Order: sequence, then C-alpha cells, then structure tokens
Amino acid sequence: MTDLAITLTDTGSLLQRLRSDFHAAMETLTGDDFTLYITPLQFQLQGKNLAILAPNDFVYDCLKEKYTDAIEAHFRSLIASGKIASYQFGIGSVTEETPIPQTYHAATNSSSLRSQTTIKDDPIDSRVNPLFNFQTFVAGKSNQLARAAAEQVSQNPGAYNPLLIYGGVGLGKTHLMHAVGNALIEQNPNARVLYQSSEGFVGQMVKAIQMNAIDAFKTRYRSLSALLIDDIQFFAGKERSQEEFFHTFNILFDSGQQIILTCDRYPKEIQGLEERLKSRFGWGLAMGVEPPDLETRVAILMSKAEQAEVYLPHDVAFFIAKHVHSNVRELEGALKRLIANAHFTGGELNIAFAKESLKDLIAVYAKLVSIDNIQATVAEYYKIKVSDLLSKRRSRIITRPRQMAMLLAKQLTSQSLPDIGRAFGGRDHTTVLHAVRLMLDLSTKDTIIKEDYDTLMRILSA
Amino acid sequence: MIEQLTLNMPQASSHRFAHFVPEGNFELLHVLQHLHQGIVDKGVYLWGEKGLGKTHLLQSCCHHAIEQGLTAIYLTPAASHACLQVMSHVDLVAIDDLDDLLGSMAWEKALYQLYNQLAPHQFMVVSGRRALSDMAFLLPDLRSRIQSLVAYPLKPLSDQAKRQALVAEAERRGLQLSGSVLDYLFVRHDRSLSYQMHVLNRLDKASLVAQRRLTVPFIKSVLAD
Repeated sequence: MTDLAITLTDTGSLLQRLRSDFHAAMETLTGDDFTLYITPLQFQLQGKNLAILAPNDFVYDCLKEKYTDAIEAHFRSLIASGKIASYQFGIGSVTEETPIPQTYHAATNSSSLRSQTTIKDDPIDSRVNPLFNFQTFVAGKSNQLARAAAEQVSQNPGAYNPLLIYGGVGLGKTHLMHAVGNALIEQNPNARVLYQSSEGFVGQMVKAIQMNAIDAFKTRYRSLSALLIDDIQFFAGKERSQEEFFHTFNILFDSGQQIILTCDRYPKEIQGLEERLKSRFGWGLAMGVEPPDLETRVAILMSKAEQAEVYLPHDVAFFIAKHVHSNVRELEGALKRLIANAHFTGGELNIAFAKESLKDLIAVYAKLVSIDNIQATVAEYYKIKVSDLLSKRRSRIITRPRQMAMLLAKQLTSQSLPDIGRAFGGRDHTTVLHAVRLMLDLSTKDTIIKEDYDTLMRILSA
Repeated sequence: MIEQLTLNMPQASSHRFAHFVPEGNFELLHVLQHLHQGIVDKGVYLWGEKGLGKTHLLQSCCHHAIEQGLTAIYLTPAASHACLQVMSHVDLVAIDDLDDLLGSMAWEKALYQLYNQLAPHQFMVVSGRRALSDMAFLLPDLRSRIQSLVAYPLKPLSDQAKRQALVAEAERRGLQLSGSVLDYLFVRHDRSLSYQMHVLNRLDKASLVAQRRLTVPFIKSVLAD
C-alpha cells in the first residue's frame, strides 16, 4: 500500500477532482437519477487505482443496467490520459480497514471488492436504539410480566432463552427488546449485541448469497453474544432464511448466547413457519403484551410529554387516553398533534384545547359530504321523501327543503352548479343559483330557516 | 422499473409554500415549513379528498428542503418500491397517494422498513385521501407506524379562497382573470381547485396559441372542445 500511496493531501484533491469530473460527465442524467445513483457513490484511491463504490445492490444494479456505457467511457478516457491506472466498480463504503487490492483491472467484475466491503466481521454495529431503555418504558398491568422477564434477562443473560415477546402492533415489544440490548451493552461495552428485523436478516442473507459471501454472513451472526430479532412473523414462507436462522439459533443457543425474539402473535399460530423453529421458540419463555389499559395509557402520555419537555395536565392526558386506545403509536401521534398545535397557537394545554385540536383525529368527521347524503338528510329532517326533492312539485312544503338542500350542496361539495341542478331532477344551474341566493337571504331574516340551516349543517358536518 | 423513477417532480413542478392558500390549514403549513426544526419527529400524515392541495404541499416540502441545502425526494406509487432502499442519504421523503400503494405487500414492507430506519434528521411526509382509520393496510405494523406521524386533515378552501388562488396563479403566468370569467368558471364548472388549475393550464396554452385574452366567449370555445 505504501509503495503506491501518495500523500493524503494529494490524494484528497485528486479524489475531489476525479469526483467532480465524474459528476460533470454524468450531469446529463435526469435529476432523480443523478440524486439517487450518482450522488451516493464514493471514491477510493490507492496509488492510481480507483474504486467507485455504490452504497448497495440497488444503486449498483441500476447504474450497471442503465449507465454502464457512459461510466466505462468516462473512466477509460481517464486511463488513456494517464490520470488513473485502473478502475473498479463495486459495492461498499470507504473505510480505512478495506484497502483496495493492488491487482485491480479496468473491468466490471467486482466480486473480490464486494466480498471485502459489504460484510465486515468486526467491530459490530449493534443497531440498538439508545432511546429505548427500561427508564422510558411505562409498565402497566398489560405488560408488566414482559417487562419483568426482560429485566431478568438483561441482568442475567440466559435466564430465559430464548425470550419471546409477542402481542399486537405498537404495544412496546420492540422497545423492550432494545431495552435489553442497551442494558447488555451498558454492562459490557464489548458485548457483541445485534438488533435486526427478520426482514433485515433475510435481506442480508440474500445479498450474501448473491455475493458469494454466505460464510461471512454465518460467521457474523454466529459470533454474537446476544441476537435480537424483531417481528419473526416475517420469516413465514421464506424457507431458506428459516433454515439459516435455524442453524444460527442452534449455535447461539448451544453456546449459551442470549436470543430475544418478538412476534405479532404466538408463534404456534404463524402459518408458513417450520415446526422445528416453532418448537425452539417455545424452549424459553414466551410473554404476551396486551393493549394498555386506561391508566397505563395515561401514564404513557405523561411519560412521553415529559420526554418532550411539555407539561401535560393529568385531565388532558386522561381525555386523550380515553379517546385513543388502539395502540401506543396512535397515542403518541395524538400527543404530537396536540403539542404541535400548542406550539403553533401558543394555547394552554387544557381539555377544551385538546378537544378542539384533536376533534378531527377523534371523530374522523372530515369526510366530504355527497349530494345524495345531503338529499337524504334534508328529506329526513323535513319529513318528506327524496323523490319529492327531485320531483317537479312546486308547493312551498317541497320547494323550501329543495332550496335548502341546493344551498347545502353548493356549500358542502365542490360540484358545479349545473351538476347540482342535474342531481336535483335535471334542473338548470340558474335554478340552483336562485335557490342559493334566496336561502342565504331568508336565513338572515327568518329565524326558523336559520335554525334549520344551522341544524342541518351541524348534522352533515358532524 | 427504473423509468418510473425519473419523475422529476420536484424539479419540474412549480409548487411552493408561497403559492399555497392556507385558509383553514395554517397550522399544517407551519408544521411543514418547520419540519427540520424539531416541531415533530418522524413526520406528518396529511389527508383529504382529491383537489385539496396534497400534492402541492408535498412538492413544496421537497423544494423547501432542497432550498435549505437538504436532500428530498417526492414519490408516488407509480415509482418502484425499491426506491425506498436508497433513502439513507435523503433528508425528506414525500410519498403521495398512500391509498394507492396499500394492498401491495412489497410497497407496504418497503415503507415499513423506511420508517424503521429513519434517522433523527430524516422525515417523511405522507399523503392519503382518507383518515388512517378508514384505510385497509395489509401490514398492521405499517398502520401503527403511520399512526405515530402527526396527522392533519386538509380543510377544504372556500370559493373565495379558491378564486384568490386561481387569480394568483393566473397572475404568475401573466394572465388576467376578470370577475365575469371567474364567475363563469366557478358557476359552470367543477369548483375544486385542482380542476380549476387544470382548466387554467388549458386556457393558458390556448390563449398563447390563439393570441387571445381570456374572455368568457373564448373560454367557452376552448372548453367546448
């Protein structure tokens, strides 16, 4: 490496120039292609050997499929002019640990580069979210057993192996799993803990197979001290991944390493999951988490508000918790909306403010009203038939409701006046215009009509 | 697959926050304009019927981010879900028409993973025609994640505000809309703003071709075609 190395400053400026020349050569690409495929490419230079690294398979494949000719032409011209000796196009990221082999050729085969740059054995990125810990987890009746088990595992790895946490979405399974991971890392910063979604596991395995790097993949997973796999239900139907996971599971289990899994239901109920895996998942402890009860929801809201450094009165938390009960994420969404509203208006967080801010979220009222709906509501209100509204009858008892319905159709829908006229028995748009003007005028003079209008508007908007 | 990525929407569209008439949507506009200043985390879900300005707002978010030196991308379900795999360097991902991508397991999973991988500096703005409670997700995991975004229904504009928006857009194009022209457009045609903007686009081209001012007879002749 040292033979061919040039000084860092020279390398930096040369790299910069190579990069900007390349960008200039590719600037004819449309905006999205340039942003998506060219911008994320990284350059690495060793001596006069250049590596162009795509961050992932997708970018690599898209570029190869679409722009091979342009890329080759550009770099061949650099070789011809003596600026570089060779180039290599592959997948990976620039790291000090991954020097470019000095035997590169100006070619498109990049298998050697791939195997070196995409899967690294050491050090490991745990992917554990530091924000999810036991302190920020609000326990209640619905989840206290799962929390106790998770704490046990974090203090005494292997106590329950595997620990399986199952339950519906947004109930805190992932939070507990990360909390264990954080606790393990805190106790031993060198612990090889890895959090991975089952989809991520499958994706990495597929890439490893494509790159002929399955051994590195196996080594990486089998060298862990704790493996946290989220949402194992997504393994269903993926036989090859299940097989690989089965072997990884066995090796980790046999060597006493901790395995923690989450699932959206009890694993026995998952269709498309091999029986041998289901039985292994039952070897340790399976804990369910239930939707939080009212008191827990209130406590969760208070905790989230505290994290956001917002004072949330207890009665407001109670109000939100009473109306939003499906899962914690929805609860969180409602609280965020309330905080954003308070931030915007400077309003005080009280019940009235919460009712106003969250009315659309809670009532989900904002569906656009259709003309049919208006006709049915108006007819029912005035105790006449919808067919009367559409008929040619001109008696006052029918025309007033008809005119009222036309006014409401104008105000509550975006239909054109001719369309509204057509919906009322094929009337002309001037009839609709007349009705709108007349009823607006009458509603300022006649209290009964005003009351009818207000009531109907309330019914239709509620 | 790759052709569908070249939408060029942020570059090609002229949608900007400055051109959006907020009326009852001031708070939403404020939140979207300050996304990267920590008012919300993860992002926003905005919903409402066609023609209320969802696309306008999403593309405005992208322009706004790009003007701040950030990276942003606007996607519709017409693009490939594989695009979401390369968003690690994008600060803002705007996804229009959530309704149309639900039902595709590949899209739902891609969106689910995108949410899971959002870094603290990354945001997503998603739009749909209905409230989340009325939408059918194949993945409950995705539903609950989108539910954690701050949700805003887009409130419809009054006719008065729509007229203002149309006049302002016409002025940007160097066109003048008289009161009688506005009356004609809003009385005789669909009053949704998206339709009116579409009509304005047609009239703009037609008036250029015919070298005519926008008068009611001229508009009638154009729209009769």
